[in-house]
Amino acid sequence: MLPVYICEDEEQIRNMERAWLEKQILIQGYDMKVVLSTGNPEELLECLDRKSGQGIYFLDVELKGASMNGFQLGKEIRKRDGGGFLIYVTAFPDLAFETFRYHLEALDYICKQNPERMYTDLSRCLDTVTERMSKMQNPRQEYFTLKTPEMIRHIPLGDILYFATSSRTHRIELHAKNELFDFSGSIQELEKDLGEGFIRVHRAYLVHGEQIDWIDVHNRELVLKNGERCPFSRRMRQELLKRGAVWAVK
Amino acid sequence: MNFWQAMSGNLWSMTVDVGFTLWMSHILLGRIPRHGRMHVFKCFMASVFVIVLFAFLGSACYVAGVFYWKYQTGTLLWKYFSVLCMALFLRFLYRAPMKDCCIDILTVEILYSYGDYLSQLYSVGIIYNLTVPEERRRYLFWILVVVPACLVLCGFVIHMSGIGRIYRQWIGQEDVHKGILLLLFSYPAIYRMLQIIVNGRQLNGSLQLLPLALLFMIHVFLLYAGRNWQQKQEITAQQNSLKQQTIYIEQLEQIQSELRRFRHDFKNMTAGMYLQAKEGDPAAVEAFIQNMTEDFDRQVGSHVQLVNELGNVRMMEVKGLLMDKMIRMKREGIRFELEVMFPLDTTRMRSTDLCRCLGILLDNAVEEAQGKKDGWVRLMISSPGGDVTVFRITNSLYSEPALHLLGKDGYTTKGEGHGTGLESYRKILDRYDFIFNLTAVRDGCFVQEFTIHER
Repeated sequence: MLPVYICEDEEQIRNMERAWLEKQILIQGYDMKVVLSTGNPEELLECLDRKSGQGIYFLDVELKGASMNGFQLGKEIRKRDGGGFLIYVTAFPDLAFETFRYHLEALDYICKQNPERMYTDLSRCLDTVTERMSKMQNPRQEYFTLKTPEMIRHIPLGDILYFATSSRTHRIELHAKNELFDFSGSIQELEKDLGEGFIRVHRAYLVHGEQIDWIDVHNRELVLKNGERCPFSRRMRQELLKRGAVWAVK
Repeated sequence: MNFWQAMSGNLWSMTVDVGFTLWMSHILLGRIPRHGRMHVFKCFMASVFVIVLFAFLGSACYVAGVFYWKYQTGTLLWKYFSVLCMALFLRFLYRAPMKDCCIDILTVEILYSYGDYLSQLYSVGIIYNLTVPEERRRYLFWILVVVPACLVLCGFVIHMSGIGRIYRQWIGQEDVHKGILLLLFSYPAIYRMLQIIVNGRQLNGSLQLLPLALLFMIHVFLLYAGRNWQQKQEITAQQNSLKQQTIYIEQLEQIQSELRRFRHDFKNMTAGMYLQAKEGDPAAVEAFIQNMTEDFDRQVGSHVQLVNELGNVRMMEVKGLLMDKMIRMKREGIRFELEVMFPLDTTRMRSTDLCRCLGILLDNAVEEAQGKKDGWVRLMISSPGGDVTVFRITNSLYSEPALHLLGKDGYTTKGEGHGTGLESYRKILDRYDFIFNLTAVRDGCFVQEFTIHER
């Protein structure tokens, strides 16, 4: 059962949120429970210190009169619950959601100005959480997680095409279906961590086996499903041709 | 002097040299080398390695007679070799571009000369005969105490003079004055040449007046060039500031006129609400309040928000760039959202490079969104805690870019004559080891992001 936490400084809104969430959990039969509804962020953190685990957090951004604001509270929660779902509830629709999403992996941003819309958005968030939970429970869906002090990124392994070393030292480029970014790391460690699904076809390339479309023996290149090409070393040629039963060889 | 005697002397003088170089580089570059316990250890080991290597090579060259080659060619080659090695050493420590490291080392070389000349006042015209115990003691006192003390004194004056800030501004500009660069790179050669002209090859122990005059001339030239450049910078900054103020006033006037319009609507709506409340229609009153708050956000709130966010951008160059782009987007009818939750005061990236990168990414985003219905561009700038600064540009996407080809020579989704922007962007980022890049297509939007690690 997923615990639901509410931290909102306005009592009336807090009670509205709680009543609506409890009603939705009951009607939809979600495996969740509102365990805490408070205006004090310290109380929420104390509660998390006592009881660890993944949770859903509905947090106010401003938190007037409290020792920390919603952003700081989110950071503290992330230290205790890296996989939790943070949802910010605010009176200012233009406030910095992109920043919250980037640094805290916030799930959503709800505007409390209009109660009807707030209720709809709260329900939508519960749906999204349920959907995400079922995806996470799917054993076939594995993720490559990149964690730095300022952000966390989860990339489904199935989306990764290959890793390549960059011209800059200790720098790896990750090529995925819809994103391309670089990070600090070593290709040897990645090869060790990611296991057999990824093949070190070249000193500088670690390719996802599932993403290889065919082998261009003439140019000594692997052609991936999205059309990208990766070189492979002479040493790997025999190894790849052995596996050629899986991939077309031209 | 045999090899080991030279080696032991060199070990000490190299320790002083490296210590002075590290101190001056810290002043000039305005930061300490990369953080982390492991890195501190690596820095220490690298420093020890450099000291031992130079002491060894210097002693070997001494024994082999390299420093007695005709016209001091050996000494000159040694000087340029040591400049190159020290620049590499700084690059390892600071992860700064090689060109910056070379300029830094050559500037340190000039600063070192001041301490060196100061220390030579102690031994004007003296050529020590190291076989005489008294003279050896005096020589050791000079090497072990006077030289380091003069360098410390010189370093302290440099530290107090605030030269580092001026240096960083100068090095941060787009085109560093070519004449100054040439002067810096040729300084060791000119210095040796003058030594030869004035004193011939037997220089040890004499006060080198002409090179000292050269040093002063260089200093005066650098000061003149620096002041000239600073004046130009001030004029540009004033022009930018005027432009920004004009735009700012325009924004405020717009907010004011929208507030006036809202006040008019508000009066009409309140009259309506009064009647609805009188008739006992709470649903209508509720709807009124909703409409009113939404209207306020739409008419006034978004503009106030934009001005507020812009206020958090405290780097004038970046603010100027954003204002330019805002005007362009307004003209093109593109919605622009700006998110700057934490004040942006400074970054490790050169401001000129930062503006170029931001400009390229924003221009690309504008080009993608222009002419499209509901086209929008969003910029997030975030630096919580000062450890990292993130710039993320998101825009509505109407084409399907091949991510892996973006930034490659000649690739473009916009037709002939385009495609060079991202290539330049990549080249700029390649110069920085502490900047990380991301390109993505997410939820039908195009995302370009670069993260600057500030420590």
